[in-house]
Amino acid sequence: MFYNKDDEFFKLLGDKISQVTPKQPTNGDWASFDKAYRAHKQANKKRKMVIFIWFSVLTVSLFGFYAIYSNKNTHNQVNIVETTENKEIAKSEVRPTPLEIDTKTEITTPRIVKNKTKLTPNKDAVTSLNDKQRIQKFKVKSNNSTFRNESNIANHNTFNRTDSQYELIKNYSDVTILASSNKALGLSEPQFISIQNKKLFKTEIYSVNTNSAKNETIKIKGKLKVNLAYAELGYLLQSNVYKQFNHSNDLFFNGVGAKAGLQIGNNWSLNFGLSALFFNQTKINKNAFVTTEKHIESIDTTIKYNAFYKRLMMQIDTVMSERNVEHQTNSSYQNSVAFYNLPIEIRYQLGNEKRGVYGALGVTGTVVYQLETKIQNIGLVNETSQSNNNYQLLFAPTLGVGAYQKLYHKWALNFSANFLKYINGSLHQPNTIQIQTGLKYNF
Amino acid sequence: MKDFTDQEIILGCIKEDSRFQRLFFDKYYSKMFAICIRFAKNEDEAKDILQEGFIKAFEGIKKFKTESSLSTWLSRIMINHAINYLKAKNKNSFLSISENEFLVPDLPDFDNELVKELSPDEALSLLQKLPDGYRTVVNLYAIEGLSHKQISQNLGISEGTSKSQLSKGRAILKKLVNSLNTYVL
Repeated sequence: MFYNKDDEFFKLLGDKISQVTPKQPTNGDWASFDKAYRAHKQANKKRKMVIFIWFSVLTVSLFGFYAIYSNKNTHNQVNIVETTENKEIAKSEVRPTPLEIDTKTEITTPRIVKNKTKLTPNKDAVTSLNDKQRIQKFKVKSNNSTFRNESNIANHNTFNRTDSQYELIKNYSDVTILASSNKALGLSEPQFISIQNKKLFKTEIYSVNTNSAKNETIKIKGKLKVNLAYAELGYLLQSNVYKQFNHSNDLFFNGVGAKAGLQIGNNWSLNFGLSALFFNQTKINKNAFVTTEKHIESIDTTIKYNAFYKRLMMQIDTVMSERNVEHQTNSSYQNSVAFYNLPIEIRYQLGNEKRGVYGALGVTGTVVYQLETKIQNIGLVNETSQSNNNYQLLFAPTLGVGAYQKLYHKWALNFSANFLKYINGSLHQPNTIQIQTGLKYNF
Repeated sequence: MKDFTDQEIILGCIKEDSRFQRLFFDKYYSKMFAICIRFAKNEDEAKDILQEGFIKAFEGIKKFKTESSLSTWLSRIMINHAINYLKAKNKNSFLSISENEFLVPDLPDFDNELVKELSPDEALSLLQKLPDGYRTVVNLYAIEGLSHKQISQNLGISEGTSKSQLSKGRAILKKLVNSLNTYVL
């Protein structure tokens, strides 16, 4: 049998226990708790810092590794000069290109296709043309001095490729190409020598939508490239996150910031940064009070003979006056704080080399260091200065916009504004704005 | 010193102002200690639970919603933390006693008047003599007023286990009350 809440035994026992005299807190209890609480907070901060550092290192390592790996694979680019005799090549007719690339050969990407530039004939590159054949010339730039000679380029690196030749090459593997004779592949002697000597490998740079002959859309294969795209250096202003110090000098604090961006797509970049901001918070309390001071204006002393008492008597008459004196003391509280911001952002950019705009989304890690606290009582000549080692680790989702204007060569004037909302910490104003102006260098 | 409202104290604690934290601590210390001591085996254990409970409260005070009372909110934190503390302390043995273990026969002719004879401190001392699992269930049921369903949800046990633990706890307590009175006489 089980008992319900009306169980008399538990009711009586509960009543008795609730009558236990409550223990009052002592200073020792608070001191003990305060110590434990501070130790707990310190441990928490350290843990967060370690997590943040590991996260940052991991992120940077991942992207760094990816950037290096990706660079290695996309270092070779193809520079394609597409020609016809008198007419433009229909884009739909461009076929997958079985280019074979030496790892030491520098080839630039077919920007002509990517940028949808109008294709124009290059008469210099073609010596003879068959109107019925669509000929594409591929000029391969090489570091090898042998191939820098224009004639050599014509002989070894430039070859005419017909559709039938392409079809032949397409069906063979790299190994087969290297092992086979030029005749078997239907290649001319210079083409075959070029392939064999330079150990070229087959690579498709772009593909063409061949579903319809009228479809002129050329799709660039989404090969992700990661390159160091730009670096920024600038002067930074950040709105005060301690709004209780509503002092005109404390509306913003300033510093310097630097960012570097990795290109991860056509318009996309991933940027990392570091900025340091220092500022002094100052709060001045003006205290005024009035004291009343008494002054003796005059003292009249008269010595007279008193007949009743038969003695000399001295009479002193004093005239007093009161005066109010106003006193003023200033006490100032000064706090030196350093902010170290570590933003990680994804940026989408619209524009060209001359000018453009961008939007950014990311997260900012901020380490706030309280450097020094100084309390000064002017008038009482009392000054207390304390060095602090307190730091706080804050995180803020970041949303930003920016613009740049080319100045000279690869340098551009850059302006960006970010909105940050700190999601932890004890800031009085967790919403803050950052404005950065400076220079941008495009790699 | 000026009397601050709960709202002001909460705001001060959110800003991590140690003066307001001290006020908060002093204001609720007694009440929270009374809760902790019921769950704990002794005063030292109660202080540990209380300290850690207050740390959790200060960390979570930003999430406190003003619709509920601060005292109720803090009590919930203390009770939850006390349960977690005891669970961590008895990793494998907390509430895992089998049905046949600790078979204590109920005392049908137990005179409830004996409980009235106890002093408050004696009653608390008897409660503290119970094993952690029994004491927790008895606390939650008899003093905090939770139903068996609520206890089962809080402790992650079945309702049957909760009822069983309560029954055994009650039997042990009655035996202890009896022995105490016998000893006194």
